[in-house]
Amino acid sequence: MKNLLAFQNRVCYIIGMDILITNNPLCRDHFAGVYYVEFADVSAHVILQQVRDKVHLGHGILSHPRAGGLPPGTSPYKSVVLSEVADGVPNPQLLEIVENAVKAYEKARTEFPEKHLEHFSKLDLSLLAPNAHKKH
Amino acid sequence: MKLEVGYINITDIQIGNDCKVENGILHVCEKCLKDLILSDARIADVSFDVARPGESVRITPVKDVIEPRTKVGTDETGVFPGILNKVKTVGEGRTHVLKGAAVVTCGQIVGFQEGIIDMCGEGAKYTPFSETNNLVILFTPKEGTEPHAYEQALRMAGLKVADFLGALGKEVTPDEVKTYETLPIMEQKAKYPDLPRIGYVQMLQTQGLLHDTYVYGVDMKESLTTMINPTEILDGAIVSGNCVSACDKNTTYHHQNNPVIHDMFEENGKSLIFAGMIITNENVFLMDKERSSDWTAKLCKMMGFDGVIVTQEGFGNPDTDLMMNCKKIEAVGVPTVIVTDEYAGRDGTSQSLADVDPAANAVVTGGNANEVVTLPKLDKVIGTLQYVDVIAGGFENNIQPDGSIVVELQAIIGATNEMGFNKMSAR
Repeated sequence: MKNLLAFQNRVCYIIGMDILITNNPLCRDHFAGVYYVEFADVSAHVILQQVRDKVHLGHGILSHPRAGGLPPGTSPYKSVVLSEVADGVPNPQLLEIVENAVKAYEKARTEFPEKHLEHFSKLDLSLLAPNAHKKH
Repeated sequence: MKLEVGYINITDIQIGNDCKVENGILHVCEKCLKDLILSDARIADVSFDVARPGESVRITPVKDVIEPRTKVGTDETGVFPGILNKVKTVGEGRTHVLKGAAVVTCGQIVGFQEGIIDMCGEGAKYTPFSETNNLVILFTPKEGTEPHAYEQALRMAGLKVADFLGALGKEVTPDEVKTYETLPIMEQKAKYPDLPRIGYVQMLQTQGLLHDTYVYGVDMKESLTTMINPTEILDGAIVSGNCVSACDKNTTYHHQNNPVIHDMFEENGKSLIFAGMIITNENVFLMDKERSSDWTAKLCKMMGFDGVIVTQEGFGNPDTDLMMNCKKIEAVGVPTVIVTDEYAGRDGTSQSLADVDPAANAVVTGGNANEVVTLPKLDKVIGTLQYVDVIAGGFENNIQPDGSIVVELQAIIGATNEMGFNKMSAR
């Protein structure tokens, strides 16, 4: 299974598919072959910093970095879809959105009760899954 | 469209052996309601309780609040069209309302987000549902039911019960009858040539699973921005299906009693013309946000509005939709007033919206959702306190040794409602 996911991911990279940056294993597996998945077992805050770095390189944000009705620090998971095209010119409007998101998560907690992780994970997936077919 | 609404004042709810409305008291039979709900295989068990204004009762975790209403007459229309009753256009004819009664659905769906209703004390000051007689339905899902399936089961059960109870008022003579009428565009202008034509743009929460709103049964995130007659909403055309932060989610009750609609009808023909209503969504992907806000602005222009009120639902990501709507509507020459709430930190000094724009120069706020309040220990809890530490607005160890609970206003149902239904005010 792991090898298959890695293979699908490689194909996505080669054919220039949109990028998913996530710390949610459920999203990593669900979107294998749909997006080029960059998974890291880090906090939501770090995920947003990675998104910001990509926006600086000129990637566009396709899904809002503050998707969901949860205040920062309620859920450990964060998943953001970015466009595959990086033209080197950061979009100031997108930068503002992502910078605000990074700021909002600065003081967010990073420890979460084990019993709710599955719920948080599913909810994070649900924010992207219904719209995943959409392009920019 | 013309809708007559008969308000039947309900002063108490009693659980007993029969179902009827008599002398302002709503009598409900537990077995009838159980039969209604347990026909859904996803629900293992259900129980009922009543919470009355002033009682030392806390209800949590609350999912939705619904007002019992019914259509009266011989046509085939019913409240909550397309989701519970036939998908026929509502908003005309006559509707009876059990005013002062509410159905509250309660149960753990995702272990967080569902809110608190306190019937007395400090918390009661912040939620409008401390003033209604609440029939609380407590659900236990079948083991293994997925959260989204459970949410749907709860949503449908709440609507079924509200519809069933509302029907008990069909033959009852209302205490008050009000008429809400909208005229076709040309007639509006001819009747009130000197009044400004004001529109209402309502934004609906539509981010995905457990974050959705339904219009005539349609998942609004799949819809383009569209128009609706405000009287349709009074008949339950919009149903809440979301579990976002309790303070600023619009429950189905909020939709049925949308205060912007009520106030605009009050002023219609006096200081303004209630010229039309637009509903739009709050999706996760930026292309959806761009498309929906483009359409909102376009429809405002096509309708020839002289001004619009824009109301939001939720916070964070929807702030971007709000600002897009605001700046694009202003750009087509229609002034806006936006209604939102704030997340300005516990001390109120942080930036209160996730997105801002200079075009947003007329803003009404529902209050700061981060404001901290201490809720006293109450004698009875309907539901469970198991989740008040992980509820949005709650935090670890927030239950004090004396039994009181420290929470942000986020945790209280309707505390900072962005349609202006909340109780906090500078007035």
